[in-house]
Amino acid sequence: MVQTSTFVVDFTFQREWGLGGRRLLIMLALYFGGVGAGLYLVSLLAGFAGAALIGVLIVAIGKGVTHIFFLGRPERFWRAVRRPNSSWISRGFIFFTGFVVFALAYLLPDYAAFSWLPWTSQGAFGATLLGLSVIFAFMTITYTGLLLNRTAVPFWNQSLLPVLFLAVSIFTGADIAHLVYHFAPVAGVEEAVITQAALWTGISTLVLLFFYFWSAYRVNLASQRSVRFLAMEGRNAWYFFGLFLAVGLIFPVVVFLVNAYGGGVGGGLLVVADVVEVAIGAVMFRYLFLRGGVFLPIA
Amino acid sequence: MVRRGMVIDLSRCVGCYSCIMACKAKNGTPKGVFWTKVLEKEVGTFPTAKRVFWPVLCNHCKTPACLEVCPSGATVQRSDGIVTVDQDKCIGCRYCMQACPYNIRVFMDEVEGYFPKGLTPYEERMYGRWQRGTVTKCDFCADRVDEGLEPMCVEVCPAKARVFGDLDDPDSEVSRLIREFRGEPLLPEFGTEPSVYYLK
Repeated sequence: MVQTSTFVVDFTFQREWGLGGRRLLIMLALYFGGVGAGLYLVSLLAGFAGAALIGVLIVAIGKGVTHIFFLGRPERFWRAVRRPNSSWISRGFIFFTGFVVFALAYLLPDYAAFSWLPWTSQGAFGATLLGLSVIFAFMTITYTGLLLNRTAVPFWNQSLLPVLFLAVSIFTGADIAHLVYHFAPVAGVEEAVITQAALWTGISTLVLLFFYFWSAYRVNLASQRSVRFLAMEGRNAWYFFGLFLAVGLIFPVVVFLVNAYGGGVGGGLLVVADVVEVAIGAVMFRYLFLRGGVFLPIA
Repeated sequence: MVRRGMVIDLSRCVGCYSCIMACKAKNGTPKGVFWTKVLEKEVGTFPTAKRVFWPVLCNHCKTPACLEVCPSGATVQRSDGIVTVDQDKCIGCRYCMQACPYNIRVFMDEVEGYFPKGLTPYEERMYGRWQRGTVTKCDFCADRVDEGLEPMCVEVCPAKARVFGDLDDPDSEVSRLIREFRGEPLLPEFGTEPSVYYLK
């Protein structure tokens, strides 16, 4: 049993992050941060500067706005940076800001409207900006896993979580890059790099998820309770296996696999696979992980 | 060095909830906000099953997880070990609530009164200090402690189930009770070194 009254010693679900109303904004913040930075990384790899800029804007606007309005006191958001020595929220604030600043500084000089900037994306300074933006993009994706690692929710306390966030984010980022390329193809962009990135990070996500749930089931009773709640109980099991796993993850991976090694599939089906993963798989991943957070009973 | 702490004797607690009511009356916490709770637990099986009352409050840990994760500096620890939240600095991120293994912090989404026809004069006076969108928790009645008094929940307990004192003083009553009756904190595996001990 999970606690239904606040006055009973029992397993207790976390209720403050990701569940209902304004609390859902934290889930969207994790989503936008992950997919935006993932899109940036994949786009750089494929030489797709336009999509990289979209990635930065998703992080800056999507993550920035949802994070700030999730706070109980949004007007004090600047205070979140005050304890970087111990708090992952403070560190995340720095990674997120650093990523947006360095990535924009790297990308914008290539646009005519910003040609007045005294540097270019080429040369030593441009390369430094590129290196810094890539490092901060990785940190923007992975810090959320490290942040959840430092909570009292055993289901989130596994070292695989940051890696899982990385795999899912790059998977979704590759899907968005593929969508952008499908509707606005640009010469010189390596589409094969995008589809291969989507395929292999998709497969990695499925493998990591299996090991995550397998090990979470063995950590302690609260973690086991989370796994049972998500994967074995009524409506949640339908969400987990049906919506999240089958539709949101396995279907796109199979489409990419057949496309790459089975003789190819139509462009329309690839677009459907992209949309399904971006709109369902990646969203449900964050929602279910937050939804399944259970505290140990105090005694 | 003083380290404030509490010992709760579960065999004495009768589940009267007077600690909850005294806490609410003294601190004027809004509807739905409980700084201390008395949880219930069924132990044993028929025909020897019984109900145990389990008073809980902030554990004012020696190494508080909430303090470590707070990004804004709102959560602070006094030199006597009492952990407090400065509402003027709290941004309402609720990371502290996820980090606390005891799940005892409360987020004040709204500051509502208990009665449908608006706030009572008492509520109007007391609720002025609360800021919606921030996290609150028990402060061991720090203002009373500074005056040499005990927290309200300790003072009103009719069964004397709660004892307050200095954990660093080996001659204090709390230290003696912990030593003689093998007091244990909750969830020691989290390594937070709570300052609230339980006698079973």
